[in-house]
Amino acid sequence: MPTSIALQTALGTDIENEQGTEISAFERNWSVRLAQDHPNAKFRTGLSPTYNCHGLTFASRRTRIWDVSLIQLILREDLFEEIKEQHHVLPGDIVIYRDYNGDATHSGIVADNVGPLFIPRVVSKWGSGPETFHALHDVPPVYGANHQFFRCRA
Amino acid sequence: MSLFSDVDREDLAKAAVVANTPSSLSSWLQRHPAVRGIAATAMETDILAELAEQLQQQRHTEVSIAVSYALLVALGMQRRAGSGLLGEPPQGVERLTWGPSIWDAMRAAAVPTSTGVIKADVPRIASYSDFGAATPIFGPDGHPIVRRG
Repeated sequence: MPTSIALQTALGTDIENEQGTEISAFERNWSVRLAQDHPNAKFRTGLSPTYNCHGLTFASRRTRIWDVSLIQLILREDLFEEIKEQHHVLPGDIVIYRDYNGDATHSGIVADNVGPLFIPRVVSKWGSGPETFHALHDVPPVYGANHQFFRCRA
Repeated sequence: MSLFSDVDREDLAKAAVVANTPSSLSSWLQRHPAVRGIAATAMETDILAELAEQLQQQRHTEVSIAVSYALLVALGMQRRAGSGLLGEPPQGVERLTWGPSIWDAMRAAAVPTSTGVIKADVPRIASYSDFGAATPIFGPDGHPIVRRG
């Protein structure tokens, strides 16, 4: 049975969440092929149903956050500021992937951003799949190609 | 016989397992060529029939769940392109964890596409030519509204 935990923003607003409990056979088979589909990515953990990408980025790997409106709320109430210039992005900043409506499809934590190209590499989690160390755009297509970077100023 | 090919079903399932939110899954499905094709060409009764068949399965798999979401989105796109009104969600959609929220979001975003023709009054314009030079144009109140030259 999925459960939720107490999770709040820095300003004390409750964040709805849910811990997953199951890994399916399909997910296991899919994860086996990840290394072939993304040969330049490094998979640093096994599968986990407990947390999703937003749970990694905003909830210390403890749970899943589904509601995209809550991502905007967290960014605002945890005092994140956008880093507009990609070459100013630093390890520890976060990246939010967005669809064409502007909704957050995915998130991750920047691990490095080295010149001269300054294409950040990111640690993020793909669904119930493993945490993955990957180049900014080396992600499943469902996450889209639009992104923004943020730094917490709290 | 499914409306989706085996390749499409596999593709849909791979996206469904990594989608982190209903919104991201829905917006990706709305751009998927197979979903768009079904929304454009399939009969609504066929979409509803396959959706019901998927939802009634005793044992759901990622493929059956992903196909269900894809059919739901295709149905919403088709209705939006038709009457512009999505109406009530198909029966059993609550069995999909994100089904109701995807349907509600599509319904909220749908804009009726019916059109109405409004016949507007044509403004009266008076003008005269003065010695072949500038031609001021006057509105009904007698004041110039355009001056050339």
